[in-house]
Order: sequence, then structure tokens, then C-alpha cells
Amino acid sequence: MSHSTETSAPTAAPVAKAERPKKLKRRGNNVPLKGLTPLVVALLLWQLLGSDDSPYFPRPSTWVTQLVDLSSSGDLWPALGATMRSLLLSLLVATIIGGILGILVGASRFLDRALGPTLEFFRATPSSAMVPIGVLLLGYTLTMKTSLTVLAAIWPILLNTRAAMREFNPTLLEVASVFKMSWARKVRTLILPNVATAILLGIRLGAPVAIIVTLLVEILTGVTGIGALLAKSQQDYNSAGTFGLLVLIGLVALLFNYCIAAIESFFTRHLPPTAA
Amino acid sequence: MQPQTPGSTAQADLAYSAKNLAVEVATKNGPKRLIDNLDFQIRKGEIISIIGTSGAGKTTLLRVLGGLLPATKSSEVLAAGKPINGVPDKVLMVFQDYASSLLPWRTIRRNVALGLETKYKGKDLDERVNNALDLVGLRKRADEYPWRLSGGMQQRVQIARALATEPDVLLMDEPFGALDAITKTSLQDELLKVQEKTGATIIFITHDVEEAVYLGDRVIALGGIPGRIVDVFEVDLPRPRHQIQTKEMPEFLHLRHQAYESVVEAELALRREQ
Amino acid sequence: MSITASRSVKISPAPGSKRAWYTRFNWLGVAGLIVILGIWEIAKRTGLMSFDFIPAPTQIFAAIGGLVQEGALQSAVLHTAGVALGGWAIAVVVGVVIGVLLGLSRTAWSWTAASIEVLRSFPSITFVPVAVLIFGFSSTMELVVVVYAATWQVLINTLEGVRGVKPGLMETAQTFQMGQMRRITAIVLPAAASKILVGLKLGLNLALILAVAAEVVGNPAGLGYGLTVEQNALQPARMFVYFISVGVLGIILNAILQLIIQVALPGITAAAERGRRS
Repeated sequence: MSHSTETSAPTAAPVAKAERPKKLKRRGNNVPLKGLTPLVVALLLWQLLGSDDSPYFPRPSTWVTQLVDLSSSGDLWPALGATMRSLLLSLLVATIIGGILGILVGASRFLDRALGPTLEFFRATPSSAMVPIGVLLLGYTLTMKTSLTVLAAIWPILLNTRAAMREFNPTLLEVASVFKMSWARKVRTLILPNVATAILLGIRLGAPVAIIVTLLVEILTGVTGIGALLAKSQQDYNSAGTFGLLVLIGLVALLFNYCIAAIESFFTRHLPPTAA
Repeated sequence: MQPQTPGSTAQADLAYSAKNLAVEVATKNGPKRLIDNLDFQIRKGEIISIIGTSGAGKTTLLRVLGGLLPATKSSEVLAAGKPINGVPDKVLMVFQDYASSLLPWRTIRRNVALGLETKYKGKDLDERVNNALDLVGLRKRADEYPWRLSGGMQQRVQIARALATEPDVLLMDEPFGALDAITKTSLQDELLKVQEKTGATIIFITHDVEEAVYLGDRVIALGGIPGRIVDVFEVDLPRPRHQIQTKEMPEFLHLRHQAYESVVEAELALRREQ
Repeated sequence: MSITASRSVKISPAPGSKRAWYTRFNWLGVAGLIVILGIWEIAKRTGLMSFDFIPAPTQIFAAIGGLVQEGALQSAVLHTAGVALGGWAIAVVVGVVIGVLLGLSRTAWSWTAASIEVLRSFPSITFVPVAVLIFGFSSTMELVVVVYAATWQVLINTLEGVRGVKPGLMETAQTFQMGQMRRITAIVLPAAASKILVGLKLGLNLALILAVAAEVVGNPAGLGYGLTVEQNALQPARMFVYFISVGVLGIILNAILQLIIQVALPGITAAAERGRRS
């Protein structure tokens, strides 16, 4: 929006730009910290008004106790570790496959159209429906969990890579000819960085998907992991443990996504901010 | 320099009257005044050009008159005799960034109808919309979407939209600033024709000093930080104005000179304060 | 890999062009699909692919007949579709209303935004065990899960859309002295429309995913349950029928949504596109 040069007075509340309340440092989105109040208040109220014995809504303090129990009994951390390992493995595989497929489909119109509907079909199928099939084919194994996760998380990477290949800035190619660049040099200096950026964005978008599907598989099938622990908690009617694990998983997911976003923005800091 | 406007005209004839008008905002380092100590009166049907240095508060002043920004409590500013509380009746603002103020999902026709559709319906509404479109000469493109029109046309749509409501006062923030020279001159003349027909009070901000003199009955120059009135003078040129004849008159050159000087003086005052 | 400048400069036909439908249809893609299916079938028949648990395409087709005859397929589809759509509808109302309210009020937003950011990062699937604890193995549980997940999606997109309305438009509303309701209906909602619609679409897909997931975990009804039953009975062909049904249901639901949008708000998507580009 082009401002008249002396719009020093903001329109709504007259709070000049110099004054900014404390904010959560998040890439792009600057969210004021005080927004956590409803959450904190809700937890406090629950703690004060709830009881330890309620079968459905045990108090937050009981969650912590349960988590500590799980930790000392040696169940918690190995499970979390298993989940993280499979998550990272899945993301790695998804990046490789998604990247390669994306490049192929982006570069070749023929492949793009030929494989299109097939790819679309796989993309459209909800991961939760894939789980029983995965179990039937591969059993209750890490391979199954990884495969399903890869299948779901591959799409942002593939699509972004494909888009980067297809929307390649034609002027850059002309620059390449002007500088008489060899094919290899063209790939190395122009195409690869472009594709790499797209892949990074795809990873950032795919990470939450990977987390969801990994947890989904664990919860639905009981394959080792923190999700399986959560499901087991529920099956044992351990509400406090269930809530506790829920919060733990949520916080870990939050942290994981934040780290991935930080990595991505570090490597793309040369780019102007865009909406993902 | 705080020149007084002639006499005390009856409140009823005044579109605006301001005494000690100031605007203050809260900052980290305490309250900051954007404009200060403005005294002026604007008669109904006048065309007022506001010029001045950047940061001198021209837009701020316009927003106060438009009811979009409150003045300090010690200010006295009346619109048509009544204190300003929110947007005053029959006062409309035309923004510099026309692209952001036209509704892109509506046709030109429906955009122009925006201010009318709650009060009028059917044939009545159509007639009013058509009249407004005729005023700016866009009747033929009424059923297209804004993105198809050039910048000048979009700005005309915004003006038509404002005029359709038959406002008493039209506030315009650098309405022709983003347009090329030729479009600008034709829109200037269209504005003059419209004002003649409707008798509306027009208060507009411009960086173009020539435009200020060409269009206005009076020119108000703001300068300094916080912005103050550094000069007010009458433009005693005959109407109707002509792009060529009027601009060749010695009186025009004299007034243009005076306007440039007031802006330059304001610029110097600014540097002295810094 | 040949990348030439000429390829990048695409001159695609303008939308709504008069090219005959048969040139626009992706025949190559359909051919590709058929080829893959063919290879699958042949591999199965010749024993190349001996995975007992992957049925040949023909076996899958045969299984459809069986399931339809038993009525199992239809009732499963209806159940899942019903819960997904119903839950989604509730989510839309709640999500849009709250999203608009929070988006318009700066104070309300600043006091809740961080909490929303935190809660939305919790994968919705992790709430399924909680829901099972509270509601047991029932369709209520399934509905609750669907509503919970879809509401977040719709809310967040609506919030983003409303907050993204250009300030120039809001000022226009101000200068025309528009009341709150009119401002919302005439300016805010149309301006935010494209983002809100994205939220609706994502919410619908999420609703389906979670409905099936909830059924797999513990509601004895619907396509997810069907999948589990056939998995335990070691009936791969029937499993695949259910699986494909889920995919097809997803496509149908999306098509229905598209239809609803076109009917209820004609031209809104096109107008929103234009608004985004201008």
C-alpha cells in the first residue's frame, strides 16, 4: 500500500511504531506473549477446581506425576526416542524421493502428465485409511511406519520441487547464455540452489505432516513410539497419563516444527519474506 | 506565522472551524505531537489545497477532518457547527491508494453503489449510480471489474463512489499523486466541473504546488514538526480555470511563487528545529 | 533433462477458452494410470509379485460386488460421509464465527493468539485417545474428534483471512460510516473469502481423515471399521475396496463442496482470485 509520505499517525489506536509489547519470536508471525493467558488460566482453574480422582478430567498435577512415573519406569524416553528416530528417517527418505520425483516431474512435461493422475490418487488418499493396508502388507514394523509417513510427507516436497523446476525464471537462463555457462555450471549455480530452496520449504511444510502420520501409525497400531504409549495409556484407563503424554507430545511437536522452521529460514535468509 | 481567516463567518456557513487543533500520539518516549496549534475556518463550497513538507501532518489533518483520527482534548474543531465524533455526516474521504480501497470483487457499478445501497434500492439506486458514473465519464465501463481499469480510471471510480453519496465535503489525500501528467490534468478539470455542479466543499492534499494553486480557492501550507500552519493565502484567479490560459496569467505565477516559498520556508523551519 | 528458455515461457490458454474438452482432458494421464494398473495385474498373474496380501486389480473389482451385495459398503460409506460432513458443518459455523470475531478485534486477538498457536501444533490425532477415554467407543467420540480437528483448521484460516484484509478496505468502510454487521458482510467476508474457502476445503479433508482414524481406533462403524474388520479377516481384496472407497469419498466430498460454493456464492472464487491478484 503506497502511503502518503507523512502518514506518521497510524489509523486505529495511536500507538507509534516505537512501542511494541513483548512478542514470541516466531518467523514471520509476531505473536504477543500475553496471548498465552487463556491457556495458563485454564490450566490453573483446572488445577484448583479439579480433583485427583476424576476419571475423565484429572488435575494437571496428576499428569506430571504420571509422566514422572513413566519416565522412571523406563518407558517414556525410549519411546520418545523411537518416535524421533523414525520421524527423522522418514523425513530423510521423503526428501530424497520427493526431491527426485519432483525434479523428474517438473522437468518433463510428459512424465508430469503421464504420472499425474496416479500421483494425485495417492496424494488424495487419507493416511488414516492407509494404515490397515500398511499393516497387512508390512506388519507391525518400523518399515511400515516409515513407509506410510514417507507416503504422506512426500507431497509438499515433491510439489514444491516440481513448481521450482517449472517456474524457473527464464531471464536467469538468458543470463547463463550471456555468460556462456556450460551445462554443468548452469545446473550447479542456477538450478540446484533454486531446487534446494524449494526442497527446504517442502521439508518445513512436510514436517508437521510427518509428525502427524508417525503418531497416527503409532496410535492406531501400537508400533513402538510415544504415540503407542499414549494409546496404551488410554487402554489402561490412565487418564492422567493420557493427558500428560498428550501435552508432552504437543510440546515436542511444537519444538520440532520450530527447529525445522529455524533451519529453513537460516538457509533461505537471502530470500525476501514470503507467505508459505 | 498564524494568519487569521477574514472575519467571523456564521457557523452555519462553515464546513469546518478549528481552533488550537492539535493531534498527539503515544510513543515509547512519551506523547508526541503531530500537528499543533492550527486555527482555520473553511467555508462551504470552498476548494482548499493543503501543501507542505513531508511529515508536516497534512494527512493527519485530513484524517481529523474526516473523523478517522481524534484530536487532542484541548482542540476545538467543528464540522458544520458540530463537534466531530466519528465520521461527520456527509463527509467522505478519497484515499491516495485507490487500488486498496476499491472492492476488487465488485464491478465498477457495484463499487459506486457501496455508499448508497443501504438507503436506496432498485431504479432509484441505479439512477444515482449512473449519475455518478456520468460525472466522471465511466458509464460505459460500469460492468467491468476494477483490475481491468487503468490507475486513472480506478481513481475516478473512487471519486464517483464518493460523489454518489452527494457529500457536502470531499476530503482527498493526494488523489492524483500516482497518475501520469496527462491523466492528472484531465482529472483536475473533471474535479472542477464536478465541484461547480455540486457545490461541494473540497479539501485536498497535494505535493504538486501548481495543482494546489490551479484548483484551489485558498491554499494552506503546513510545515515543521509538529506541523503548523506556515501560510494561508487566497487564490484570486478567475473561474472557470483553464490548464493553459490560467497558468499563463501573471497572477498565477505570482501565487505559484508564493506557494513554493511557503513550502521552502517550512522546509527551512524544519531544518532549524532539527 | 532439457531446460530451454522457450519452455519456460508458457502461453497457457486463458481460462474459459474455447478449446474442445477432449484436447484439455488428460488422456496421457489416464493412459499412464491404465498402464500401471495393467502392470500390476500382469505382475500378480505371472507370479512376479507374489505378495499374498496385495490383490490383483481384478480381484478388487470382484470384491466390490460382494461387499455391495451385503450392503456393508453402502452403510459404511454413509456412516463415514455423514459424520465427516456433519462434523465439518459444525466446525465451519464455529470456526468462521470465532475466526471473524478474533480477526476483527485486535485486543481479543492479542490475548488469545499465542494460545491458539500452541494448541494448533498439537496433532489432532493425539486427541483421539482422550476422546475415547471420555466418550468411549461411540459415534459421539468420532463426531467430537472430527469437530475438534476441523474447527481448528477453519478457525485459523478464517483468522488469517480476516486479519489480512487490506487496511485501505477497512478505511473505506469507515469513511462510508458502515455499521459492524455491514462491514463484516460487505467488506470483511468477501475480502477474506479466498482464505476462508481454503480453510473449508482443508477442514473437510481433515474431517474425513479423522473420521476414518477414529473408526479404526474404536468406533465399530464406517469405512475405517470396515478396513479393520477385513484386515483381521485377512481379506486383502475387500480391504482395498474400502481403501479405494475412502479415496473416492474424499474426491466426491471435495466436489460437493466445490458445487456448494459455486451455487451459494456464484463468482466468489473468481472474484476472490481477481482480488488477490490486483
